[in-house]
Amino acid sequence: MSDTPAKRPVLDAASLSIALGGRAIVSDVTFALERGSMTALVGPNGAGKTTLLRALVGLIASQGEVRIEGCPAKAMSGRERARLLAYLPQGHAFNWPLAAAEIVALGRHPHADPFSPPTDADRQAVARAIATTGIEDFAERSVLTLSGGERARVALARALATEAPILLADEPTASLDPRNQLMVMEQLRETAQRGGAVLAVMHDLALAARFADRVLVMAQGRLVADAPPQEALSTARVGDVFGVDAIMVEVDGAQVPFMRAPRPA
Amino acid sequence: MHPPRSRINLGLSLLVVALAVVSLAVGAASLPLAAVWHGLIGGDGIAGLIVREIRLPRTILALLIGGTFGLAGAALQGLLRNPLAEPALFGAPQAAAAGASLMIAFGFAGVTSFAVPLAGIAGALISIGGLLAIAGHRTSLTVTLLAGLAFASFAGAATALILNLAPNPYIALEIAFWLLGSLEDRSSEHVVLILPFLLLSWVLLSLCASAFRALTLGEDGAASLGVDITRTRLLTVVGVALGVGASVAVTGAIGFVGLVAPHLVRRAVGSDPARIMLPAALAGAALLTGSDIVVRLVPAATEIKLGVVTALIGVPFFLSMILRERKFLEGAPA
Repeated sequence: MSDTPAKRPVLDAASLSIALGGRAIVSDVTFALERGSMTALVGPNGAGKTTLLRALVGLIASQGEVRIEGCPAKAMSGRERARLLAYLPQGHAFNWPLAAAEIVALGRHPHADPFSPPTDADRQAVARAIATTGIEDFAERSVLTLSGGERARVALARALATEAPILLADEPTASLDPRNQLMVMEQLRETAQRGGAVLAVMHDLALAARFADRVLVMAQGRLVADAPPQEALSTARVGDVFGVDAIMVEVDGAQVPFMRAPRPA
Repeated sequence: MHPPRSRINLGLSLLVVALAVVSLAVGAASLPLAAVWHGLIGGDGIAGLIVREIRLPRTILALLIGGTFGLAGAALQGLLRNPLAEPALFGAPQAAAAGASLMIAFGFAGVTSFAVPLAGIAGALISIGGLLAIAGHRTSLTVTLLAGLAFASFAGAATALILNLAPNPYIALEIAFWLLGSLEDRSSEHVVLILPFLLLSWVLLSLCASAFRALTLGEDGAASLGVDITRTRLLTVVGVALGVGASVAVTGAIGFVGLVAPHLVRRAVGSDPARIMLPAALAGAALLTGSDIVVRLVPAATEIKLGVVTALIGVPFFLSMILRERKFLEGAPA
């Protein structure tokens, strides 16, 4: 994979439209994700962000075309797609009290032959994901005994263990304390820096502006901006799209929107 | 974290073998082990006849059916991600019993005809398939259990109607007793009759093992790992229906082995829904064989029916599980 040009899009979505129950949720969305790039997807509640992500993963049907590494996603089997595209859903729900390391190992499912034990490659990928996310200390503990922040990191490790070139994360920092939010964002950025294409749905515009290389802004099912953070999250656009007056604050050299007050309706 | 699984499986296998030997030895006439062995290897005389013709089929059926129920329970729990899932709570044995009674009551088939297990499988297929169709992809516990209650009640009503309309009272009485669930007077013909269905059931459910493990992440999480959810649901429904339907056609209604068996081994092997399947099947075989020994040892004028024993053990067990899991259940998505 190292011979692939760094800037060739690894995921292409062209004129993507999604309707749920006869209602258009996402309309005519076109964008591409590149290797080595961290992209934030922002927008008000109900803008269609999660729906868009679910369609990219193949969980719901969509019109238009999604290409992964140049191949139409619709022509791929579920396992083929899962090897190329890892998905970190909202909420980090675990249904059984498995050990954290066992949860991380689930990330190897798309690579595994269900009737043979894990290969060396599987074990190494799991160990790398555990080391990257720093969850060694509780790797053998049941996930149901972990705190929200620990669970979020286990869930991230599980997604990383697939070692897919694309990572789609739905609100990876939701319900985390500030320290855990920053740690998860740093890990997502590192994943991009190692050559992955990361797309994360975000509600915290300040985190999005600080960590993303590019920001997609959605409103009412449409893509209204696809640009570097400073351009995509200008005070004017934040006002238009989110109905919030923002001021720009400089953090570590980046211009970051800080929310002041809701605009009168 | 847990002792090696192979050691647990070995221990459970030894337990199953021991219970099988006891099952061959006990009954109306207790036999010493030497006589059992002699009978098994083809010895003549009354002991040989008892062991080979009466107790061997009975023991084999208890092992096969108990194992199938244990596996079916573990599979349903894996699919629904819930330790309280069990075929009997979803009306499967009840519906299978209704299908099988229909065949017997109206003389469509003799008790050792393939039509009986087929009708049982059809009944179980309708209840489990209908239940999962109603529960849908969210598989809320409340909806699933309520729909199961509805299916079980309807199957009970259908059976009552069949008894009600039975052409003569002797057949009605016979079915009523058969419904209590028993392995008494079953023959090797019964074994041959249901073995193909049980084997197919085991294969289909085993194919789902890794999908059940992936379902720990929920349906979206599993689907994003390449698990075909629709295929997994279909294989599980058909696998459980084949196993439960065919078993019930031979034994009558027997429930709760599928609830108790996985729970008993979960502490030892952990909660991994794939890894628990073999130990749960072995525990199920041990449970049903053990229960079938108990019904023969209890001194009573009439033999207590096996289905009665499993329900008498299983239902309080279910209640205790509800009590223990109450906090979890109250927090579960409704």
